[in-house]
Amino acid sequence: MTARPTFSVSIRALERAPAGTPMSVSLRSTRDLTTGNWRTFRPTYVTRPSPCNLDCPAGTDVRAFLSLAADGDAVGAWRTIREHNPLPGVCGRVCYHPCEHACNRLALDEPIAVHAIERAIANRALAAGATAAPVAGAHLTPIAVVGAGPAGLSAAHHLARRGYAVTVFDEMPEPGGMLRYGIPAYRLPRPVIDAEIDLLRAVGVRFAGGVRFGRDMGATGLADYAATFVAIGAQRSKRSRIPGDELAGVRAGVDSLREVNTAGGRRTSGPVVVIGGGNTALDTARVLRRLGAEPTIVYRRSRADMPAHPDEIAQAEIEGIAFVFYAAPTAFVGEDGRLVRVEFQRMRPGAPDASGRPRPEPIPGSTFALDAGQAYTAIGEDVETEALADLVAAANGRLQADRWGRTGRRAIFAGGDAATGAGTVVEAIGSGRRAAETIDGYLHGQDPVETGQAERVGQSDVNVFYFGRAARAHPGLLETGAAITGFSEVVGDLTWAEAMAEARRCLTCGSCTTCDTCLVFCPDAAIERNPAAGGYTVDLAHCKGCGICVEECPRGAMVLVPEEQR
Amino acid sequence: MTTKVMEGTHAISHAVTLSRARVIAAYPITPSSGVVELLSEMCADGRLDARFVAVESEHSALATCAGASQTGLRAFTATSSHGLAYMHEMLHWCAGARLPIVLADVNRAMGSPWNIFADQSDSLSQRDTGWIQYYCENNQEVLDTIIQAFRVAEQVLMPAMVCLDAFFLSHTSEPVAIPDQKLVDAFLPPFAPPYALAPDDPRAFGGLPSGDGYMELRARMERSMQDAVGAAETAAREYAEMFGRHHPILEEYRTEGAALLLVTSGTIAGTARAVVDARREAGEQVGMVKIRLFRPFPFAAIRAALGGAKKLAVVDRNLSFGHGGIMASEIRSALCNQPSAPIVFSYIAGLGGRDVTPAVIDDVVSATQAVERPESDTLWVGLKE
Amino acid sequence: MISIRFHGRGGQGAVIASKLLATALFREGWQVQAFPSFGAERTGAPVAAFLRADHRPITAHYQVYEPDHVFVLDPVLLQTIDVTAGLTDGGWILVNSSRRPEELELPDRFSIGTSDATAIALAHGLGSRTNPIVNTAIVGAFAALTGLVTLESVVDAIPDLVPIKPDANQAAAREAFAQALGRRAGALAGREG
Repeated sequence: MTARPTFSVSIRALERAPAGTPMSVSLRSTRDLTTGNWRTFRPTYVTRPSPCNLDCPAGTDVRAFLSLAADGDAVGAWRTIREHNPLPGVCGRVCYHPCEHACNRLALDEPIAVHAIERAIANRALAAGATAAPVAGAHLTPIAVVGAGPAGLSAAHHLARRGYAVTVFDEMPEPGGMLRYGIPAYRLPRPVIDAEIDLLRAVGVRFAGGVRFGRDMGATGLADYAATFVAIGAQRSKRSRIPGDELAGVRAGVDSLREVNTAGGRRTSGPVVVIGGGNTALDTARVLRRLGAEPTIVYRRSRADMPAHPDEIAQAEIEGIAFVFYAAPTAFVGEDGRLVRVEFQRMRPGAPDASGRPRPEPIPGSTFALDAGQAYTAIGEDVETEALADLVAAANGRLQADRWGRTGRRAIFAGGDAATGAGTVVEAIGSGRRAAETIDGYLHGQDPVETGQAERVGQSDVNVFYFGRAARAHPGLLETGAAITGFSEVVGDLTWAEAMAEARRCLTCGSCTTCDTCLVFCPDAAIERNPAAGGYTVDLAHCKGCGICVEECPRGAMVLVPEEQR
Repeated sequence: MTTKVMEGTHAISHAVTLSRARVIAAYPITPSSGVVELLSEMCADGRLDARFVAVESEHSALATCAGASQTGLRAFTATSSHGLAYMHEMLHWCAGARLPIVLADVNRAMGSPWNIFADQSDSLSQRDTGWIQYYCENNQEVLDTIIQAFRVAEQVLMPAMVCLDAFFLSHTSEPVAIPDQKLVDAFLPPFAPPYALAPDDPRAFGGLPSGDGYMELRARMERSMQDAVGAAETAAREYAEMFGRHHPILEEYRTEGAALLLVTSGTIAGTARAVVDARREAGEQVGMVKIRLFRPFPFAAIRAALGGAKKLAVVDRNLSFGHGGIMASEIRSALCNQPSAPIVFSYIAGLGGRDVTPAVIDDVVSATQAVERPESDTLWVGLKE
Repeated sequence: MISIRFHGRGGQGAVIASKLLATALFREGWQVQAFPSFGAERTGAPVAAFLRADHRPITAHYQVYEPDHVFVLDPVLLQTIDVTAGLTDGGWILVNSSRRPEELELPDRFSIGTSDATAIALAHGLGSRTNPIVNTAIVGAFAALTGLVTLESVVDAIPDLVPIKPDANQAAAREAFAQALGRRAGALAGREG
């Protein structure tokens, strides 16, 4: 049959149909389909700050040291901590670990026990003979640090690492400040402090004890130093200003702690009253308990409002310390000049104050008294600013200094509790580190650079379903009978194996761990391992920018970046 | 009655609502998803008093309908292509259990390779499962046929499938008259099966029949299927009397004195009308026959409509591998042993949604006219080089 | 019989535009048929939709190859696809564009219309800057340029097709109707289109 040219289509028997491929198959490799030109967003690997890193006042790279601990590298983890903080053994015990408060693991179960891991790292690294990193350059330029508490120690560490000759002055004979003379040994054993201070000596830091500024040396004594960092802390207990506070038997808690920590405590007995709700109140009561007394802590707000850490409150309760909440002292009553009882006004929660907590207000006509031969006030400590009157200006009871420690006076810097009023070890450590950096910059003619706060990786950025549930590690506690009859450490260690397991609970928020999830999920097989670069390479010729890798990244370490407008 | 411009899928949804279905179970699949999307809205907002069951597969969808129908409720589902194939086991079961479920199938090609476009092979490969099968030309016919299918199915106690072309109807908006509910209620009485699964009258259904009764039950099914031809004719006629629209089970379009008859189904029939009109205007004796009811196959009507022609040009948008166009082969079997049977030209066209334009159909007419007999049992239209 | 093709991108509303115009024409007594290009559609990918209208019932079901008029909902498509394919001489090409018809450099054998439907849509809060919903506006402009359908029929059809923000969509259609710009085929050569 001849062709029919007028037809719009062919009509024919199958025998006359053309041959072709037998199956539906692309005749070229699908690699030739460069679908990258569909892309309007580019997946990009990023390192974003984890909540723990942002929330550590000392600036510790928590995420990094947890990763090293998870791999069993205690010394590497220890060195990582010490990049920011010279006192991991101390902080592993007494830091209130704000790093744990916003841990993204809360979306799954409980936060990582960072503090317990930090402590285990310090134990293991020191047991393994880890030493301070060698110092760059010779110790030539002299710098004075006034105050050997955590802020001063931190500043000394960071300055010594930068090659300065640091001398740390302190009124007390041994360095450590509140660590040594405020915090009792059952919370912070003295060998822990000594070992970490010895590491400062090893990098050339000199300690001059028994030197009180304003008494044993003055501003002229600092003339030989290129810069001075003042961090004298807050040592003087606030007065209660309640009738009878001059009676024998009424004392400041912080004074009694200093006495116990220098001379050792004397045995005592009977009911004692401790007024306050913070560290000092808890420490005072627990020390008195160990010395034989029966302490009652009286606080004018609720238990939840106490500034002391809940774990310590719980331990105090286990140790038999009584608590009375919503009560404020109105008078110390004595006989023959000695305290016999304390009178109180009952309180109730009122409207919120500046701290957001309900302001306590009296319940009219509601009073009571507690018999006690001793009462301790622990309602806060003041800075002895007058001793520094010709060195640093003061206002509102604090030394005047900015976040970077600058006082407005050449070569004089200030930090720690004396300047910030913050009152925690870790904030003092952070303050000392910033001051050290500022001093280093000052001596090189540079101002500190404010880096903007990067956006943290939050719970919505992590995919918790990639992680199994695992219970948080809880270190054991010393048996109560043993705890209250001596000053042995109450909170136990994690074994190294337990610490590694706890560190492996970390989600490593905001940092690629080369887990391969992106590679597995890429529908275009456009992600390749790139060990040389420590991660992956995205094949931009084929990546369509679908964003599945970013969506699936377990730890928020990828983002979509808009392609430039074409 | 109101007339609205709507897609084929939504014409089905409106028909199901007018039919007062009580249980709808479905698993969405392109291009049928619009049917159940609108039905789920209608169930949610109260326009339809029915239980909408979202299931995890098409097999479960039909199993759910089977359960509902067994208890005496009017049940409906919609699917397409692979979804229908996945129902295969339950298709047999529903027919054997004599459950008059209505199923809308949007005719879509089967993979591999993937293809979501019009092709009748999905429903035609289920032709032996015992389901009544209708094929529709436009959205109005879709709506009207769903209502008729419920009536015919419930009269003969066999399930019914209403088929429409993917996209050419499912996604095409055209005017559709929505009949008044009262009239539909008069046309379609409530579903009242002779036996139903009910706690107050416990009975066993579908178990192993005692006394080797399987073959007799099969004979009764086949008898009911044959009865469905008459039931469908009656339903179409009475529907026309009530609603003014007549959709014969086999439509003859300008067939008077025709020497050549196009035989088609689905949307191709609509496109062929213009070709027939043009040929008639040119003085040629060309007509068209549209197959609307395919199962049961209307042998008598086929023989009456086609027996007088000299040539038939059957256009199949489907294929039985190793045999050819399915409608053509069924027509050949109906004409076998008939006196002076016409010569059957079997054309395969439009598989996988390839467009069948008036020009293509015109070519088919010309090719049929050009020769005495086809050069092959099956001819392929529009194969590319 | 008139047939129309709509070019747009997935998500822009080309399919709704075809249904809206079909419904408006149906209100004026036309028989209509509207359908999308058959395919798996992705947001942002070029898509097409079609419309047939006649004064007799439309029985044929196949795609439109020779449209009488063309809508272009995204002017960037003018560079990437041939929107004039199969278009009847003298037919309208209505482009969503802020430019004047003569600035588009389209062949003079077609009538060219422009409507700044994106600006109108955004002014009425329809869609976003990256994804404005321009369908109601451009159908309003079509009514102005071609006179095939009245503005009132378009406006009346909107609530059925666009249940979200019907008032804003009706206002957009009216504004586009008032502002549409057109140049008839052959105008440059002095002929009437």
